[in-house]
Amino acid sequence: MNGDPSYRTDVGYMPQQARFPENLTGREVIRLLRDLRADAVPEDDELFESFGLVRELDKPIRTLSGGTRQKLNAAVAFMFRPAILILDEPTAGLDPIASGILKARILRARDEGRSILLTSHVLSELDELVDDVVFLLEGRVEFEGSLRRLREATGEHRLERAIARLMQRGVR
Amino acid sequence: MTATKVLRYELQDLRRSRWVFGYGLLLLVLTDSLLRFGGGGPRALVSLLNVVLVLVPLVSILFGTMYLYGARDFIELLLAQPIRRSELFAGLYAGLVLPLALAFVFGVGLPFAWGGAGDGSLARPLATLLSVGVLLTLAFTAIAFLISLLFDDRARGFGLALLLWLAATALYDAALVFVAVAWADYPLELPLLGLTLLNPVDLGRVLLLLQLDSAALLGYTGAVFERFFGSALGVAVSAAALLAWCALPLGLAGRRFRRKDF
Repeated sequence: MNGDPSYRTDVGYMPQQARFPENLTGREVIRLLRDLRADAVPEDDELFESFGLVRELDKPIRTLSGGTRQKLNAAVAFMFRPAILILDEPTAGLDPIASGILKARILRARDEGRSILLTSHVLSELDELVDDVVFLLEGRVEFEGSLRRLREATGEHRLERAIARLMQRGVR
Repeated sequence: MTATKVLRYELQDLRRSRWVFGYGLLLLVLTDSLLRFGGGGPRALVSLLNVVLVLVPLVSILFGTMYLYGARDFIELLLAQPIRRSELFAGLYAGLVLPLALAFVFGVGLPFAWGGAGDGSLARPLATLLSVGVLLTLAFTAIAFLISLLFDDRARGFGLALLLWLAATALYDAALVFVAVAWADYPLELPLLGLTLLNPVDLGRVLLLLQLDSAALLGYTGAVFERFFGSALGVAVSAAALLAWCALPLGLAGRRFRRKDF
């Protein structure tokens, strides 16, 4: 890639915690991000609508609640229809309804053939979301492979139990 | 240029910042009252100089570090966008320096404009004061960038920022006086001249005092200073030294920004 940043048009990134500039409105942040991209794909504002964000976009971000900021954060990551999505603890700070909406959107993105890399420590929500698992423990890769292989290797069906089994083995 | 897009958003953000507005207003009130009650003309300018030399570095370095630490998460989000790091850096720096410099120029300049600088004899010193203030803003904001990029821990960053400000505005002078007293029997003019060039705040002070014919205030080295700084060469060298104080930290910060693993 050699310092050419244009490949990043294909990446949507959702940081764990979005701290947007306090004095700007959501719309201004979106305009900046749009400005930084030369490509003119039709934007995907589906999440803005399903999260009910549209009427929050003209308020200064400092007046928004943590949950609303997180919704904005998620909606922005999906906005430019990226081929690759990097989501860092996407459901942290979201209410159950919003979390459900986001998970449905992630699944649909997967079915559309996009690659999604997501990190989470809420293992129970991953069963329905992931195909492959990389399990990191204290900076080391403890397991890497498909969810099916993880299930076979540990004899556990639920991801949470399977990971717990891996950790117990590591202790012994 | 993508840098201007970053610049524009930052201006939008800072235009609504109470800090920048308050800074400009404080300078405005201070300048206005010094002009009204400070004994007029050159004397007011000297008092103002002392305020500027303390306040501008303090606000630039503290507000700069504060802003950068606060914007850290957003910078990371911007780094994930298709923009070069060098352009992002340029935009961020310009976007911070511009509002601060404007607040300074208007805060100090406006009272002179409406108060009437009298016969215009103050025009040159005032221009020097404004340039020195802007250059100090550039320098100390660049230092603030460097600090916040070098230290991820903001408590340490703020501590260092305060320490550097204290060193430049007070400790350095104290050390100079100590040197001057301790080696009073030796010809110290040239070493002191060199040491003055190393501190941006001192540079600004000397440059302005010499224009006000207050070289006597500088003590026994005043003559040497006047001969050096009063000449065209002296002004050129000291302006270059001030510019180096802007360019060097900025260059280091830019380098750090391009390589940093955020």
